Amino acid sequence: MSVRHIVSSLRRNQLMPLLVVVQVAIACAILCNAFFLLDQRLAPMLVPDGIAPGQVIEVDQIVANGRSWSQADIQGGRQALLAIPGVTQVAPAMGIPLSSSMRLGMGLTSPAGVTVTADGYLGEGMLDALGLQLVAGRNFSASDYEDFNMQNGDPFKGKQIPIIITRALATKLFPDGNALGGRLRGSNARASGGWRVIGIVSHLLRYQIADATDGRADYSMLIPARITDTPLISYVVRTRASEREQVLKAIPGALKKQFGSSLLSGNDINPNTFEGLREAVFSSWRAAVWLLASVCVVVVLVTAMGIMGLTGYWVQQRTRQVGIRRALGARRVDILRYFLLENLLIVGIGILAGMVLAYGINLFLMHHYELQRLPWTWLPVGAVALFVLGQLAVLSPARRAAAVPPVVATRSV
Amino acid sequence: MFGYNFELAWRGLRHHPRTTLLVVLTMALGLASAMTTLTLLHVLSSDPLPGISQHLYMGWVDSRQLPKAGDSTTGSASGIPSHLKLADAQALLTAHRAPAQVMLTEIIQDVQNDSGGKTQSAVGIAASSGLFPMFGIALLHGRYWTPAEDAAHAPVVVISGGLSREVFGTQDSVGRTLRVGGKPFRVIGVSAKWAPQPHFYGLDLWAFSSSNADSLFLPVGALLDSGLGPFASGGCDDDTPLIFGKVNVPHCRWLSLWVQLNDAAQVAGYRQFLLDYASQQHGAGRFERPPHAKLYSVPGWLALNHVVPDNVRLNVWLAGGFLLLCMVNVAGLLAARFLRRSVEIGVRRALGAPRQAIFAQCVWEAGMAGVLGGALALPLTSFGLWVVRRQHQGYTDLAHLDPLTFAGLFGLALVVGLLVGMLPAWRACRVEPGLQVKSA
Repeated sequence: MSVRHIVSSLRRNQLMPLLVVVQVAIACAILCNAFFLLDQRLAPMLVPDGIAPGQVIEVDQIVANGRSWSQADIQGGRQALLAIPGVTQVAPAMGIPLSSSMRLGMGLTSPAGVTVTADGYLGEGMLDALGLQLVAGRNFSASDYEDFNMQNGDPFKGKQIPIIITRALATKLFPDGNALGGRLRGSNARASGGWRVIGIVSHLLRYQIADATDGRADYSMLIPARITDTPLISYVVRTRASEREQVLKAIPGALKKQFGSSLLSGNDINPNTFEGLREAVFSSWRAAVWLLASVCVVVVLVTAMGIMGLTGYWVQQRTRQVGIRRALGARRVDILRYFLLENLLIVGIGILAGMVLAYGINLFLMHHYELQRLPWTWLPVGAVALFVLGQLAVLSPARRAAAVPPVVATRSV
Repeated sequence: MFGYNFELAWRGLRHHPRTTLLVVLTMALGLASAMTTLTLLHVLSSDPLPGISQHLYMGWVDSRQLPKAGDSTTGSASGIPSHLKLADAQALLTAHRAPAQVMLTEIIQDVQNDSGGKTQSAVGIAASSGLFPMFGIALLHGRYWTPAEDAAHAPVVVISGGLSREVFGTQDSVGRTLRVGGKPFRVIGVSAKWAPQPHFYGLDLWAFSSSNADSLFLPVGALLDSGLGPFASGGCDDDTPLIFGKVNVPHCRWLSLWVQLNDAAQVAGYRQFLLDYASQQHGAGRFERPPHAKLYSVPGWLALNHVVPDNVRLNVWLAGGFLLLCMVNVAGLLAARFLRRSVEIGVRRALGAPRQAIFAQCVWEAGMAGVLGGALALPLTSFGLWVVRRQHQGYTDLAHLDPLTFAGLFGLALVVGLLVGMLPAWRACRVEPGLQVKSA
């Protein structure tokens, strides 16, 4: 039985196969895009963040009332937090993971010519306070720290600044593997002196989970800075795991006592555990993941039902022909193979159309919304899924047809 | 004929209960997903102040300094400049070129009652006296402040009924003293609940929220006199560092100007007026940049700020695609079931039924399946919206189904049902009577 017979048979009976083709095409287009969107949402939720579990509290955005925080203010706050029983490390910081306040994007260019934009975490003692794991090089020493004045256009005054980067960033920027001691040029006016890598940590999540897609979750770096003259400051507080809840409750009181009327009226001090922030960010993400996953499942189910219903009818229509073929000597397996092959052909046409459609839809979405290009690798994933689906859907009607005894050819249906 | 068609369709549906269930269920799933996403989009694109916002416009003149090399721009969160300096806002306000105008800024302050009660944070608006009638803020008690009190910088305040109950324990707190950031303000009015969605005049704070609402209203002059100052600014001139709580009042841009314009002629006239003002200031050397002015309508301003999240529109497309898939699916299932009845159709045709009658019968059956699917889609949509509300993203809390939207969506179900029935019905009515009767 050759493909030519199937095609000529298809050409005589156009409505049913056409409906299957259209259905498969739409399903393929939706599935490819939904898989892609799902991956964009799911991937950041699965990456390791590198932060010590169960120990970290973030105090975001402490805003000064009508003035800037001086270095003395910031150190005072640090001491006040350190005095809370259970606190082991405190880092004044600008930019903290998963927080909503300021973010500093740093353009980095390596000698190998690779340029990436990494999120910069500025502060004092961030590595210990976040509990990051140093895999190479060293932590900052006291002499590495520079004053960082927020209001200054070039706060480092052209000096080369030592930095600690993540392993992912090290691999990306230094493909030959010699990241330690490597120099990086900055594309930012605030870092005219460039950077020197002195340490590498295993992981450190970037500011925003939404940026953590496509393997860029760890594109972040630590910058040693004694922050001064800033309208708002954040702290990373590391505690003993068993005492974290008590520390969380004690922080607003301790900071209010320390800063008093210097705090901006109407602005609450609102410390969060890192896990709490993560949960808050992820709860909406999880809902989106469920939504997209159920879209995929329902699309698959509806398509399977559709193919089954249509093919079931169409196969049944041809019971008589099957009987004739069986009477003429076709084996059961020939009948089965015929219907499977026919399905493969129809679904294949549908998939081809669907891929074009998927790509077109992605182009449209990219043009109108901030969406990335659909990587072509998702197209075969959608195609294979639908091929398998089509074969499974046709299996039961095809087996029923194959079971038709030759004698029906002699009866009227 | 109506009754006959209805009965035939009903019988047809009951004839194959399994495929009927499949058809109705598929239809319901497709419709429910489309309904859920459309409802959310509808809620988010709704008019913040029905009957008022179509006449509201925000005016802006460019008072920024010339850009410098290596400048990092500080502006509103949206990045679209929209704020004015006090002097410009006052000049435009006192020109009275529009039927009504107001200047305003969002404030966040600690408030406390006069007997040393608990301090709490309140969000509100510092504005000129035109605010209440222009934005349609109703009063439960008392009055709003007058232009005279505006000019005199009178320390008066209007608070919402909710804030009044929280701070004073009673809704009617007119005459009491409210401490705002520690400074005494006399309560002269209590406003009814007022929370436009989206929060079009203060998008920097929030766009949609079911929990936040402006509940504190006081005159701009009194705010400045009491030393509280504006909360934040949309950019300052040189050497003015970014500081919260103490904006450099004359050198920063922190006020928005909203005007009421009733027809196209007024809009054009006001736009020209703003441009003339900018040219005049540029000529006088106050504005460094070439004269530039903007007049945004409320829908225009919302669109410019991408107030409806892209995600929501993306989901509408996704659901639309899914509905299309369901429609093709249902069309296939219906075609199969109609053609299975070829014999019956053949007999009807042989007995003299015209093609139109067969077509009508099939379309009726499809339409009825659509209606059933639509009915089933209602609980499914409610479930979908419940899932959406569980995302807690501010805007998602507002996702509720109102009867009017549902009526519209039910109409969609009927149309979809009929549309889907067309193709199979056309195929079925072409059945050759002779062939069918013979083979039966």
